[in-house]
Amino acid sequence: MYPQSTISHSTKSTYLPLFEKPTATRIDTLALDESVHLLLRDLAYQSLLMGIVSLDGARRSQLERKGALEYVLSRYRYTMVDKFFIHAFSTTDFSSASGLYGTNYPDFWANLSQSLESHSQRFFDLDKDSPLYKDMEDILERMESNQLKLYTRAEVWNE
Amino acid sequence: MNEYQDVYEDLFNQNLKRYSGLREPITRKIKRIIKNPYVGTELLRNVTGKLDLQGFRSARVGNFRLIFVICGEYWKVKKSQFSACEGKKDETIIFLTVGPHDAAYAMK
Repeated sequence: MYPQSTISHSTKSTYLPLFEKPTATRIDTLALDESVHLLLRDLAYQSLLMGIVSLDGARRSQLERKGALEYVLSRYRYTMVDKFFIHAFSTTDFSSASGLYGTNYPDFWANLSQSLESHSQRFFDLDKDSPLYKDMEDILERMESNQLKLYTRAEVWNE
Repeated sequence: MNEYQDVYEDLFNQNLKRYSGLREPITRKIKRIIKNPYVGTELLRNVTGKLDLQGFRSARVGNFRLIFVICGEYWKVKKSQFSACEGKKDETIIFLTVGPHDAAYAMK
């Protein structure tokens, strides 16, 4: 459930469409790897709301209470991103931003955090004594001799 | 977001039967991986031993780990094709094995 707008008409007319409900497609799009630029742009505007770019305090708290995310999403459609916003993105604590909006927008933030995570590379070192290491030895040996045997999802999970 | 296509190597299938008690969490993890295989997973590195493990990925399931390869990523990392990926789309994930990383959890 998304919050109802209580922002004044004058604010609405300046930033229309302020309270357009984010659609499933839109949220999904933001989670795509290819949409990193869009993501950065969103994050830049979130940083704007978090105070890196100074907003009037009363107005900011009003936005935070009532549909800040819609405000952010609607704004970025009409504004070009420049290096300043990208800089803002890199210096903002987004975990606190996530906490702030997470209650109302869990799907959005889940997608956003997933996208962020997907852009930070993590590594795992397979121990030589691990049973999985032996498995990989076997797999790579069989790969050399083209003896890998593949199954479909239905075959494995009995679907 | 389009889901990746999943296929399974014989060893994965065998280990899934071997550790059938973990079928449920493994299924859940695989569903997540198919949606976005880059989230919550790690690339393997060549740190120990003789094996060239670059291009493979791993994901944790409790004390266990899944090892898989994303055909498109393997191609980018290795500049060659993982042989089982031949003729498959870049958005194909081959689940290679599942098991404990620590030998102490292995089932004989």
